[in-house]
Amino acid sequence: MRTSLRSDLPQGTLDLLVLRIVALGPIHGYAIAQRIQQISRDALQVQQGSLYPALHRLEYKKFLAAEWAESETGRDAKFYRLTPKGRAQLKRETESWARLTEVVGLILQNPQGETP
Amino acid sequence: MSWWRRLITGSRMDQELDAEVRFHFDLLVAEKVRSGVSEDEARRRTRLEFGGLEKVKENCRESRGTMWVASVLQDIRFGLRQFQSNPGVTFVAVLSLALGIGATTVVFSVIYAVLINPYPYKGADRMVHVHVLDGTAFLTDLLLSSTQFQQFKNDRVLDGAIAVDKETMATGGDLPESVSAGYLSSNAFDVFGVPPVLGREFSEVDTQDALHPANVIVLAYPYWKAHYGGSADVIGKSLELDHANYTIIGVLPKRFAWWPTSDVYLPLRFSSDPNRTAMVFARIKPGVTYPGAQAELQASINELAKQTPDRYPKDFKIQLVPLNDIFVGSFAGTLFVLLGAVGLLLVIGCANVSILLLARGASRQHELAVRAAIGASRTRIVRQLLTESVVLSLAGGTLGIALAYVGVGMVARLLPSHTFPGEASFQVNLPVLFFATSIAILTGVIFGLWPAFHFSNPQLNAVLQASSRKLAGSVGSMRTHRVLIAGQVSLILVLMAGAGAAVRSLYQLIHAPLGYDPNNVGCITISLRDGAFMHWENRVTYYDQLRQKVGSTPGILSVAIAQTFLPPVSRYATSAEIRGSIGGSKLLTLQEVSAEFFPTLRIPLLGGRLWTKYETLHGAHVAVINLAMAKHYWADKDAIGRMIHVDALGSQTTWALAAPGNDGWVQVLGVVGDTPNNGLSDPVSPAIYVPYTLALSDGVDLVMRTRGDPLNYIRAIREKIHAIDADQTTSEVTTAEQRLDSEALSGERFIATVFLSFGFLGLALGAVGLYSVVSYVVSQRAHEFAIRMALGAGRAHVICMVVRSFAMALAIGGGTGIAASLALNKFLRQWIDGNVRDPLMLSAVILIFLSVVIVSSLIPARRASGIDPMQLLRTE
Repeated sequence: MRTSLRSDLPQGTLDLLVLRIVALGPIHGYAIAQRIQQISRDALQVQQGSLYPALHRLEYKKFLAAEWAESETGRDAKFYRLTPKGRAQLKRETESWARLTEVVGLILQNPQGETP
Repeated sequence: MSWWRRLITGSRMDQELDAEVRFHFDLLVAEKVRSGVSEDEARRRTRLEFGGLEKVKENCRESRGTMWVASVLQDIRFGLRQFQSNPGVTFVAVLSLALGIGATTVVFSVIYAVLINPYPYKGADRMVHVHVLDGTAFLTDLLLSSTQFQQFKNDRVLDGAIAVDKETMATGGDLPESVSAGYLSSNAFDVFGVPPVLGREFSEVDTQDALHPANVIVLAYPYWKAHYGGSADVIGKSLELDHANYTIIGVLPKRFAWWPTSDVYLPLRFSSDPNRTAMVFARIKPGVTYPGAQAELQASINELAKQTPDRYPKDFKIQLVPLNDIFVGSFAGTLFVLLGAVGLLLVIGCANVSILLLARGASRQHELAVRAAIGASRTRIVRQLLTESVVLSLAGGTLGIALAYVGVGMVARLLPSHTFPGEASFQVNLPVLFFATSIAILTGVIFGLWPAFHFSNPQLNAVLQASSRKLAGSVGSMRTHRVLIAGQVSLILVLMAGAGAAVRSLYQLIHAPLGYDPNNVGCITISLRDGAFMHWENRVTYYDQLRQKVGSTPGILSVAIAQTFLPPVSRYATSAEIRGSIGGSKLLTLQEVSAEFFPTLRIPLLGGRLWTKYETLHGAHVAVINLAMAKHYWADKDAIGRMIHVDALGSQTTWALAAPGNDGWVQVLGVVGDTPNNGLSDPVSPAIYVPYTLALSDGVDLVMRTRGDPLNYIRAIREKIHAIDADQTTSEVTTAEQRLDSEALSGERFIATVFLSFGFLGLALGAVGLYSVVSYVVSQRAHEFAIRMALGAGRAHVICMVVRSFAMALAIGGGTGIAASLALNKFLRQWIDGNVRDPLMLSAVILIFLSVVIVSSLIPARRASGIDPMQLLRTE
């Protein structure tokens, strides 16, 4: 199943995913898209049209830093890495995401909330 | 690509973004190729997936928050390209704005400097000259003795008063130089409230002993600059004047130029001698009205007059004259007329910009429609137009501000010096600069945005489907154009008529009959030292000795002595009584001269005789009158032999010695030709000439006719004078022509120059405006003309059509303009000599205007007739 979840991803989720991937080590845009796709077992396919604006936004907010370096294909690519500020942000976002899913899960599992 | 353009593109960021996205794109393509798709197919699919590289990049820029800046920069770049592709329109629009801003600011700044805020003194708007009027409106300044002044200055309606006097002093050294000295009462600087730039001013501390004040001296700014190079260690130095040493204690600021405008200021030696008087100025208390203060002072001066009744005319009236009225007088009106003219120029400039931008906006409908069709939002289009207008307006504004600064300096140099007080400081008036700039920029922005307003109701399809980019202009926009053109034309005609009238009046003045020959006549002032030659006979002998000695200089043809100004102005008016005539005292212009005055100036004798040299030296009670007086009082009857009592003669003062036996009565010996005595534009007043020896002043002018330029003789004259008295100071030589120029012509010349330049600027702006509108119409209707010509219309017919579309607007505008000029004539004539209703001038103006209009509309109209119909229609 190849579903594009672009519109289904809640606002800000892509940023969180990107931060999480970049946290593993310096990486360029193409690889980020690949990695998300792999890890999600193809459930998520990130649109380039959303990925790059997100990367630039995060860089602008100084959560990411970037530098040009030689890629595995031999061509220069722009590698992103997490800044200390980004790491803190990732921690904050991960916690709030966990809290949110927990709360949403609670509400969804509550039988009293079930519609007849 | 120039460096600044690269700077504003931020191209490095763009290149990186491009490389980054392209890297991704290429990897995706490679991936697809590996899975067995052909390269072309892989590219196609990737592009579909990507959804447009440019869009992605745009979103990236936006997410960086630099979108706003980037798009504004983009708009500015686009706007600059637009201007480059249309340099004429841009140039004219910028220039129109700049001229409007510059001229308005300059004229208002001058008005501000001369009329609104000319003086640096504390409460200057309440400072007054105190005049004493007798029954005939003959006025003198109020003179008070020391004790009277002490009483006067504490009057309850006054907020301070000062007493002043003046003298010419000589410096020490081998070649004494004359220094004009102003004497100020010790409280003067307290009253002025103008702090010195250096040191201190004198005060009551320096004048404990009123008769022998401390020998302290304060320098005026120009004197300090000229003689001490503006050096700060001048304080404490001593300056020798009239063989006494004075300690320099301070330097006054540039704007201090209180009457008498002097090189140096000293404490007034105000003895208690009741005959020792000084001129008085006053400042009335805030909240006291002029009539109130006048009534109050009248009462207190009536009291003072009882002590010395002979010094005041019978039933005199006190009149308070605000400081500025003395200097500016009628020139105020002229300046306001100029402000009106310059306002017209600003409006013409703004109208021009509107016309140009409207024309350009209309021709861009197609471009804007295409933009809208490919997805530009309305706000985006408005923002683009706004950016362009702002860039254009700012360029105009900047240039305008520069013009204002240059112009204020120029006008300050051009302005005749007798029309403004020495204190006036000419500076660009910032509020007005701001106001004019805002108006101009607002005009630019509003009319620049016009296409966007028009676009709020876009008939995109209609615009795009039109086969041609050349749309026939909509009826609405043409109507706006015609109204603007008609208005502009009428304003230009008003300006030109004003300019014509000013020029014609200057021409008439220059060619007016003078009644004397100012060519090669020079004048040098001799001032006696304080207290020198106090006996009448000695003084007469000394003056005549100087006259003869100077007259012996080779090249000096004749020398006369005068205690009056050279024409075209006079120094005094006096009340007089004519024996045997009814109606009480008369007002006459008094000219105190020696007999040589008439031949030296070549003033013709019309009847009777002149007095002799012998009569001059003995102070004979004789007179000569001018033709105006003879005509006014005796018509065709003979004036010779009449007796006249001249009130200003016969009373002894500290500075004028009356001839023995002088009772003020003189007998008329002859009649001479008229010379102007109120400037060139006013009629000659009745004038009486008497021997200067009747009331011998402590300073006289030597008036001489020379061979060649009188200025060449200054050295020789000074040598002759110093041969008689080594301490005698002399002024510079001024010529009768300079006098004529500065007293009479410079004001007119100034007005004519300014009006003429405004008129031509207005005309030039209008011509260019008309040219661009006609060009625009031609380009819009090129298609239509091509069809008409293809169907057989002649060239002349096409030209006619173009011209006809504006003829009505021009005719209406022209008619309104001429009517307005004629209507304004009465109003203008109060301040500007010259007549707008002069038919010769008016036809010249109309002729110039018509030829400019015809040329500036025919050139583009001819282009319409040059269209090759077949070529044009094929390209469509």
